Amino acid sequence: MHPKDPSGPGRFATTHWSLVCEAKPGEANRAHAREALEELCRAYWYPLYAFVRNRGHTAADAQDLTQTFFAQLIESGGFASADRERGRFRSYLLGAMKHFLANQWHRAQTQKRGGLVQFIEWDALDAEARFAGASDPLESPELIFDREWALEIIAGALDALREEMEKTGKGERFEALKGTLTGDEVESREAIAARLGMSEGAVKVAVHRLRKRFRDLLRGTIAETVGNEADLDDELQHLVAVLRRR
Amino acid sequence: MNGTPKDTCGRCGADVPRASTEQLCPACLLSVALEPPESQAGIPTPDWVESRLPQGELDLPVEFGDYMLLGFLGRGGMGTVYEAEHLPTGRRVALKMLGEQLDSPNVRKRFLREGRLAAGVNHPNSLYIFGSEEIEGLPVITMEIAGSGTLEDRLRDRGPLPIAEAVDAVLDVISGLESAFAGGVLHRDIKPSNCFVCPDGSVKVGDFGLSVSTLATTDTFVTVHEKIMGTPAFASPEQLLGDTLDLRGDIYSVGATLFTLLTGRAPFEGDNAVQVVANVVNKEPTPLSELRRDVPPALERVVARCLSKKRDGRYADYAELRNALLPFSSSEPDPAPLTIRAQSGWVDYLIAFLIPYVILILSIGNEGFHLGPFVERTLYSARYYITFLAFGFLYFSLAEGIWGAGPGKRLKGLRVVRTDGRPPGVGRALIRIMIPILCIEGVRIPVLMAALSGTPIDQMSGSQVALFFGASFICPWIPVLLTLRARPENGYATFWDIASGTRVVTKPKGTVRPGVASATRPEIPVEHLRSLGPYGVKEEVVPGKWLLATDPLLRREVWLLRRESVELPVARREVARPGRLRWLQKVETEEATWDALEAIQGTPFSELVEDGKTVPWSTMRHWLHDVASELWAAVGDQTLPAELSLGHVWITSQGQAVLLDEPWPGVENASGLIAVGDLSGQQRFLNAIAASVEPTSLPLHARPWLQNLESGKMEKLSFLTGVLRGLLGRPSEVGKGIRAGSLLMMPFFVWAVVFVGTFTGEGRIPEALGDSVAWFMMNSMILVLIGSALVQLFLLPFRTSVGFQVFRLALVDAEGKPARRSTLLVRWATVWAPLFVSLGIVALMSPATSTTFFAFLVLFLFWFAAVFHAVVHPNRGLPDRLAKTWVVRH
Repeated sequence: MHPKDPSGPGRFATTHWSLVCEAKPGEANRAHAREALEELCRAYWYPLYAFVRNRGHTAADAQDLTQTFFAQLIESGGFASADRERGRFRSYLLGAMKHFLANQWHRAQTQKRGGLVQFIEWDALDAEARFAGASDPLESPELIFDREWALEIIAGALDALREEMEKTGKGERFEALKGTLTGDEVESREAIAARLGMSEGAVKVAVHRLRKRFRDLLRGTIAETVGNEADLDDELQHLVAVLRRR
Repeated sequence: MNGTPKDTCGRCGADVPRASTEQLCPACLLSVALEPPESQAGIPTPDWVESRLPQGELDLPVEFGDYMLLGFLGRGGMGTVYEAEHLPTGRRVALKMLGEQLDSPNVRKRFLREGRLAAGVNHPNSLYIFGSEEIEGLPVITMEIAGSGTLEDRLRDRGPLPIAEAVDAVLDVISGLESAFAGGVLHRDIKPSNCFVCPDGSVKVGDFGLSVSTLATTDTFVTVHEKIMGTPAFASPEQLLGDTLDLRGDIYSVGATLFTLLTGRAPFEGDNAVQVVANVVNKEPTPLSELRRDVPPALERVVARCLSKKRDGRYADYAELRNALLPFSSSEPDPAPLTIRAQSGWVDYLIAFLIPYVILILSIGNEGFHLGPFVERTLYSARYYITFLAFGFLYFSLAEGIWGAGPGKRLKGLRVVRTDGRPPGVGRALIRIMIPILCIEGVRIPVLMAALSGTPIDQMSGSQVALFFGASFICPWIPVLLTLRARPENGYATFWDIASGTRVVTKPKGTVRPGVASATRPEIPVEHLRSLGPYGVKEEVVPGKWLLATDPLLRREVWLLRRESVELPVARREVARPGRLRWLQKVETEEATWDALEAIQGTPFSELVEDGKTVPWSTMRHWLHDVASELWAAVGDQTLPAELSLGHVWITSQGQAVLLDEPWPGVENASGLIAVGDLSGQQRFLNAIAASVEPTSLPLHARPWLQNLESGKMEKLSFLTGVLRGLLGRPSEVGKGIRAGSLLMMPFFVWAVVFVGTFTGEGRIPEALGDSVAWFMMNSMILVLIGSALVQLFLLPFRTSVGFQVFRLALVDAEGKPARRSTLLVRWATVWAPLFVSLGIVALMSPATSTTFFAFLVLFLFWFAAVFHAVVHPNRGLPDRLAKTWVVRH
């Protein structure tokens, strides 16, 4: 099953280029930004983990490497080179990870730095169970990274949408209507209307609103990972294309 | 392992293997973010869905703003097109909404630009844009609906089209593009899927998604999100290479479209876009005839010329292309009347036989050529004669066999075709010419052989000489016997037409409608305008009643007419004819209700004819035809106003007459309001318009029609319009070439005969004519001119001359009536008297010296200057000015 997000619903507000920039040493808001960045890393640990695993590292090594990667980045201001004008956060993160792996960081070194905060609580995540379902030796680690990244974003948006609905007491409606988000008519509008005790017209409106909110959540999330508004649609198209490559 | 059961997405068909996204297809979920904002009811879907599920992915019908979406029509350059009904008015429209290729400001701008450019085009062969609006945050353009799919659909359903059908469709496309070009728009994306078919079979050009204003032709490389837009298979090489574009780029695409309609495949294909581009730029297209056998070679040449890599190799404009294509269209060519055929044949015979005759006579003499064969009766002695015939046969079989016409037929607009409309080919053309010639020579030669056999030339008796000349004059009339069976019903088929399976037809020619210059109004920034509904009011045509406004989105002008009475009838709102303004929408304000009608650039007719100004027939006939057709159509659907005046006639800048619903203010109409409820009223109205025709431009053939109109004799409006349509196809203006021909051809022919005749008769320059070649030329010219003058005088009572008869011209007076004989006599005198009187005086005063010669020469030059003047002003040369006559078409 999908592991529950460690950081809760608020995480979307924090994944933002600006945080990365503010987390650089010497920035005024550094402490706050750093805290937020830790959350960001927790949110996107899995795509990176999947990437490392697919590069041939064992589960234990991959866990350590991912952990160290984040720790190193956050502690030493590894994000210093980040510049929001440089493009997409996804590409930046992947590039940084490749760089990190290429520089022969060893397990030994990781252990030396063992005193650092453990961002990711591996035991709670059941990382390997998830990875087993996603790995494919025929696909490039980069593709897997991008796909997992996209899934992470979709899952996050879905979670956020559910929580919003549940808060306003519409949890049941969400469960009934979520199937329509893809535009696939698994169940007819009439059947849904009958089940929810709503008119067909009201179902239509509800479907539309749900889709619109979901769209906004998705775009909001991705907007925070790209350099500027114009890249947003490109990034979206890229991710859709990655998901269609199966 | 997570053990989630594998599922497939009901929408895209992909496996949905993971539970991480609630067992929903992640790609489809993420695609939601690509939808434009506010896409209510989820109407547009990502393009990949639509490409797989072309229809019905929406629950149709569905309400969308003021519209009810009824059906999916297709995807255009920028968006999805639905058939829709405008609920308040019941009008059926095609509603195009911005596609989900990302609703960015740039795309929005481009989308509106399409509407703006297309909105400037109003032509029966172009989809009309009704308006542009934003519904639920999504920009939409509403346009005319064609109703029967596109040419691509036709191609897909039926395969390659019959030749005439394909050419007819392309001719329609050309008309639409021509009008767009006149409005300053290049289409740039002509292909079968952008040509829309109407239920009546006519074709309209649509999808101006890639169009540019002709003012900015360098914007060739249109890309949206790194995709080259347009279809490389139909784009011209210069468009793909990013050069500047002109209308010849569209002509290329028209050629590619015709190629596709004829063969079912584009001229250039490839596995991917890059390959197609490379082929378009580098490769020659497969010849049409290799892909389809029944394509006539001439049509193949037309298409190949359109597809020329270099634009200089293509047709320079649409009129030229239309005239090249018309012979292959379904419009039946008219059989050519025998009189015109005789005239054109005469010219071709002169070229084919007179030239070798003159050369042979001058080089070998009369005896060797004419008489030798009869005396010696050997093949060898007939070698010159055989050469002579062979040249003529070669000329006809090549000129008519390959090009369909020699210069004579070309001059008269005639063409030789097979009975199925294809070019005759060399063999049939040879049969055509051999039959009449063999009929002549088959009689003449045996007769002469029998009569002249064995007689030496210098011992021929008087009766033998008479027989020789008699046979030579009578036998050429034998072919006339073979034309006696020619009737309009059999296409004026002569014996040789029937034997060779060919006919002579008049070449169809598109008539060019002369435009009218209209004053351009200064551009007023929209922000400063008072708004009325979606429009900005620019000025008041009639204060409080008739406003000129502008549509800020489409940047086109509209007229707002205050509605005085009840709702405009549905029939009037639906009118979509070039002869009437299109109704766009109703605008309601607190004080009044307004009808928005399209405002077409142009001039009120009453302004064009005020203060006694007149309009040439070549222009007037189009306007009369426009108004008559509109009257006929409006009577049919009961949209004709009860009364009309000249103020109701509006002439667009493209030269189309339009009936306004209200009279244009300002200009007083002499004729006032005419009740047009019945046929006599309609004829009076048309006659009031026709009264402003320039009488001296009126061909004689148009006079009976106008007289019938004046006396209200026409029995049916359809009959009146039909005859008028016939008049549109007839030549109405006297061109320079025609005038030069009518002036010079007869004298030149006579001179050639006199010169050659004298020379062959005497074998040298006769002494009586002086002994130098110059004197001989001078004298023979004088003789010819005297002869011409006498012939003209002789024909004067018949109100014609040889040149006028051959070229179908006539002389009229200031009122347009055939000139009186006394006037013609005055004109004859003004033409010839100055020449002969002065020549006579010079001749009497001095003996034949070189001074006299030069005096003659100067006089000739003066006289020829007058001839030249008449050619430059074909309608009114110098003698016409003096005699107050005008030259018009017969």
